[in-house]
Amino acid sequence: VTPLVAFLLVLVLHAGLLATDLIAAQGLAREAARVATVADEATTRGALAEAAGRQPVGLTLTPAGERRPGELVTAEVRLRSRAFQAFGAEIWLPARATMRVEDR
Amino acid sequence: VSRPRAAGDEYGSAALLAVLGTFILLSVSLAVLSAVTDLGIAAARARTAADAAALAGAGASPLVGGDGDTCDHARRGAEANDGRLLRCRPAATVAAGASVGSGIEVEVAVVPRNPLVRRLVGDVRARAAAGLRPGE
Repeated sequence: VTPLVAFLLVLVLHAGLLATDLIAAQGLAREAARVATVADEATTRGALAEAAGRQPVGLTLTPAGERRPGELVTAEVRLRSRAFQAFGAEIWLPARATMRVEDR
Repeated sequence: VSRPRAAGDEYGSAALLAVLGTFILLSVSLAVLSAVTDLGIAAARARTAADAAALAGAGASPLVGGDGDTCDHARRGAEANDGRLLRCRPAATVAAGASVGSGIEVEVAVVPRNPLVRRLVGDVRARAAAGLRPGE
């Protein structure tokens, strides 16, 4: 029974890690969208990578390229979770945020 | 005539109970974790929607060349993030008794995705404010 309990405990701990990363992904999407409203894509990617720290993160901005003030920009972020990596699993967590482009 | 129970039977029952108890505990833990996570995600989404609404509203101010329909822009900002604008209050920024700019205060609600959280908590709300002054 003890190995089973230990395994289940590890499972719950990783589920907690997954939960933390899910919430973090939403925060990162907000940050990325906020930066994208006043800066170009390269600056946004840099700010996102800095905010994510050592966790791999992907970004898609819509619309891509030049954006005009007043239109909406959507940042779709994919954050690689630390959860279940010990089991060889690779989980990417999606999050999305949309904001209005400001005058630069 | 009752047959005496062997010690092995009792060990087997105890092990079965322990496994059953562990699975119940695990199921409850995961359900609670799932609900707490969804609440956290909903709170983060509400903050995003409120920020987006406030910034969209402030950006529509005539001070920066907008059409002045700040609450309509705030509503669109909230809806773009799956939120619902509950309250929108354009507010003048006052300094030394004179109006020196304009701002907006909004309250936004989002619906949690987890049905249990929806039933227990209802909509998750967040507030945000944004403002600007001429020349900024």
